[in-house]
Amino acid sequence: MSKVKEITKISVILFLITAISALLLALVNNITAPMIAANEEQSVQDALRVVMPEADRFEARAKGDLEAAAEEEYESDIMELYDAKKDGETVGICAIVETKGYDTGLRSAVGVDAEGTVTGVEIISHQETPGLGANAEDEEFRSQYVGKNGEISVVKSGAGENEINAISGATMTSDGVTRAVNTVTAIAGEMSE
Amino acid sequence: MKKQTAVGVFLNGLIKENPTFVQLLGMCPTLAVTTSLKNGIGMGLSATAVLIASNVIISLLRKLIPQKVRIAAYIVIIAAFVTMIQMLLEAFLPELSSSLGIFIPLIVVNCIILARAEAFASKNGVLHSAADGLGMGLGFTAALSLISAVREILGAGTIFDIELYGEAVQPMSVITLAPGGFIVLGILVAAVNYIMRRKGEKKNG
Repeated sequence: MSKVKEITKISVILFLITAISALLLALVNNITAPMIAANEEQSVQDALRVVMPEADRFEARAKGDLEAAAEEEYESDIMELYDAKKDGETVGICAIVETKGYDTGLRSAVGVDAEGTVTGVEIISHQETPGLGANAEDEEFRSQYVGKNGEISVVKSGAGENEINAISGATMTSDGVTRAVNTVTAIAGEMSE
Repeated sequence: MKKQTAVGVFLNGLIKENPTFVQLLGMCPTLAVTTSLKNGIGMGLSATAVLIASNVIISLLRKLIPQKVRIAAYIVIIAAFVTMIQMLLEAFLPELSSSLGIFIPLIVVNCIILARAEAFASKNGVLHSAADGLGMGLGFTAALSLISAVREILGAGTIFDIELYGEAVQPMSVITLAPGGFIVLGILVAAVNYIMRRKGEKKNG
């Protein structure tokens, strides 16, 4: 077999393997893509309802300058932003905010009412350490934010006004969640003024 | 090499040449995902599915794939299966998929899978290759489950997210961190080797 013939044969076989793989992937993607999107939508909607129980509808809206400024200040990334409505009236805002805890991809849902008071915080996904940062999911930690108004800071223990107690051994995680909450309260605060 | 039965190949992967405890392959995902039993089992079974599928396909195509580009061909096949598993997990088990995170796509470069493709599937028939994939995969799963169960019980005080000892005992968080992973893995590898050696000595008189 000549060299040219051999190379052609190799390329054709490799191409076929790749093409068939791509075809199969496209097929599986076709089936699963709508389900994946529905799952994500569902988990977001569930989280929004928990952080803002008062609202009956959530209207997505785009980020503006106000949001960009808050993102910059708190090193956070607003993934999604919603106006929370009740009977057609805006009662607050909710946002899915991504920050960095001990690891990247700490995603929280935060609800803040029209007066700038936190109504709820939910951790949607994270890659924090089990037994330490993962405790951010605990009600005990998250409920500290509820009712706070204005900028919140993290202390190791003995939290006072507008302070929360860090999860022991996970200051960076606590700080990450707090920055997410502060991002949203900053936006709500600016809006109500 | 003497002719092996499919069952022999399966047991070989599961115990005698256990990919984690004996061959020490795939250490990166082993250390990274074994922080909870749920993650360990999820990772093990996902890798098993990929291993069986890629072993079967590579065994089927072993006469067709040219020697010179075999590694490229293997990687394409393995990557295709891993991506499919990832999409299926996201669609049907979104919670598990989010807790395994980056380690699902990283199955592509898990050396166990490429090693079995190169060392076994490319030289053996379909049935044996499937048995090898199943054995190695379950061996990997068993090892991950053992490590992650120890780490979850000692480090987080839970098993399958169920509280074990309540408020009274403070779990040793270091076990769930990276150093704890190395410590637990080291002790378990030593224990498994000790048991295997004792068994071997008994057999030889």
